[in-house]
Amino acid sequence: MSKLSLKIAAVSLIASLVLSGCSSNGSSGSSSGSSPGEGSGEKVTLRMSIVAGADEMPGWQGMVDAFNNAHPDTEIKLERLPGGWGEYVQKMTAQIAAGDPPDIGRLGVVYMPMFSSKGQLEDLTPHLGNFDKSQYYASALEQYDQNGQMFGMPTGVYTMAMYYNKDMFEEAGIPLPSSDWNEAWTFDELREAASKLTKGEGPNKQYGVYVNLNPERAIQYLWSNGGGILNEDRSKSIINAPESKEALSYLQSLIQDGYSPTPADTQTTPVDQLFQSGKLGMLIEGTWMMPGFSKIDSFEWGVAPIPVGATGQPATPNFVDAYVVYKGSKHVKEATEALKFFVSEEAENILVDNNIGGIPVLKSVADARKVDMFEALSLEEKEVWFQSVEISQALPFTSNWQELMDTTMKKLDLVGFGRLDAGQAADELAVELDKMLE
Amino acid sequence: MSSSRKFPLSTIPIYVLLVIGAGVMILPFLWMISTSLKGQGSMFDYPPRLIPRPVQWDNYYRAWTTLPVGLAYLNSLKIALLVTAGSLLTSSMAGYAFAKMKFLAKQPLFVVLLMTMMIPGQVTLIPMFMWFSQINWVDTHWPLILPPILSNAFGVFLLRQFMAAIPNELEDAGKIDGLNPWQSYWKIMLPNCKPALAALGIFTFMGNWNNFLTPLIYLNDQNKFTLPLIISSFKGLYTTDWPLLMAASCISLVPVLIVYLFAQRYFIEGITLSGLKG
Repeated sequence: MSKLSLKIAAVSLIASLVLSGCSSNGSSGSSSGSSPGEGSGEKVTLRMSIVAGADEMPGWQGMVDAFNNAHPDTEIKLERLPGGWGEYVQKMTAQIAAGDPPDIGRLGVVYMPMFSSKGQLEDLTPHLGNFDKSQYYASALEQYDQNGQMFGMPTGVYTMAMYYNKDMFEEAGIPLPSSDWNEAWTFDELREAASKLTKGEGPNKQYGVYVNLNPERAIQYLWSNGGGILNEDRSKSIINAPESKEALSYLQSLIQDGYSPTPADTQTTPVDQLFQSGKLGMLIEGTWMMPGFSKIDSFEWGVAPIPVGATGQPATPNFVDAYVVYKGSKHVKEATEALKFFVSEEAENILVDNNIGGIPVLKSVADARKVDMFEALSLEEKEVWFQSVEISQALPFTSNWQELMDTTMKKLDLVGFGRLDAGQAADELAVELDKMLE
Repeated sequence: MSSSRKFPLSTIPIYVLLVIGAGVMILPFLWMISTSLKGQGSMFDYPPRLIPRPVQWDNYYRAWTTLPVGLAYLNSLKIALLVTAGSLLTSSMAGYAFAKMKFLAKQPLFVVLLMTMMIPGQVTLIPMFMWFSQINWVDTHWPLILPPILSNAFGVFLLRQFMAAIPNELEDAGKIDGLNPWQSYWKIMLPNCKPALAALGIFTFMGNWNNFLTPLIYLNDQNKFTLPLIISSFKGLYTTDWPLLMAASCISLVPVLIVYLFAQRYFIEGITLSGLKG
């Protein structure tokens, strides 16, 4: 064994590592299609990157396949990333910074201001062509179409409503709530029902209602009571307004009276699990729970409007995620074309077929497919969701929304634990939020 | 040798304590296996049930078929093995140079190397990504394999310390018999470093097997995903099928358990040697 042969072995090992790396790069480089095809009649390849549950993938893939079939010059390659929005945003940020982002993405509504204010999204307006905005729900389209710029196409509308356990209602002798938002329960009716539904002690306790103090799940109580979190132009906090305080105090009292699990209880058992195992009477949550709850077979459940406060005006937040084109895409025109297809009748119908994406943003599809959507519900109850789109409003998202929410939750968790009075928390919070909004 | 010794009464409390400790350690593990066999929704039943009724073996079939778990296995194995082998080689060579050889600016170089350990990986993540995207290595496994092989400062440090403790006389004797530096590294140092190499190998393997962030940033194609990415793919955006997720986790654990059964001795040696836990 000479020293030479060992040296050769070591060098060739390293060389083979590097070389095989290079050769595999050669093949993947050409297939990712970073530059070819600009206007030359060659096929353009677009990368589309999303996060989604595994059961949603057939729907998204079906939509992309339909586009590819209809557009022989363009091919979209759909990539599903692991994890949730947090991981997705991390990865997109890295890729945009490196100048190598996917062309198309689907971005959670919460992250839209953050991305658009940093200039990380392409303005779609120059490539829109004959796009007819009047065909779409205004509440969905408006939030991305402002000041003459359009940074995203709405994917579908999610709103919130009240899921309730019908078996528990019957057992407690409570009449079932109406499915008309104009006849929604009042705060007092909610409290009364919750007190009747609450029974037992310890781990097997049955709760009447779940009060989630997270503003993204609680803002409708403030709205319908005449308050809110931020003012119209999002420059100042109104969480310390008397109407907002009153709603918060009401929510706190539901927790303190034992009708709702505390933030500590929900750490050990997620509330959707609590509802599915029949230990929670009422759960105010989003449309996104429908697929999971459709599998419940141990009890009857239904959907009703969210109880309203002093104004008597029903309110619910909407969550409209967006298809976007990331800054740095080399094919903005083709990508915008794809986005227009994604909100077309054909694509929206595919999403409905696969039971994903929420309520279609195209009014004609939403109307025509009412029968096929939310199959677990009666026709009357389906209207709870469709009617909710009309009355829904977007949350006042800001570019530093995550930080605002972190600060808010630190205070509101104390309210949930009963360690801080809701009114006092709102006063302290208003000062902190105002500082962050400057 | 100890078979003839009597079982002293005084050890009973120790055994009781150890059994309790072992029970606490193994409970989450049993819980994972139990959950992987439960139906949706029965996971949070009270009182908790360790043996599910009915037992749903179907979860394992569903976990294996909904996502490319088998492929992820091979990807993870390939990356972890290549990185472990490669970084053992480079770290031991560099460690030998720093411990035994004389060259210009040796001390300053070693300090610079140690300083690289102080920079958190997140800071270099985006610059590295930009670099790899320029040579079109994004969405390949190379950014996950080459950097940890070529820049394992901790490994160099560990092996340098270990080699520095090996008496120079051993090497001197070799020199008298005509060994050049390469031969004395290969024939004298490496065989004497086996415990350190085993410890470093295990840490490197575990670290890469469990790595989540780097593969998340670099890989786009589901068929190239590693196990942590695939397991995380079982999480939905709003709701999670816990039994399915747990079944996938159990599947992914099998090779690690096998490695542990065979390499238990080295694990323990590695921990006592380096004062770290894996």
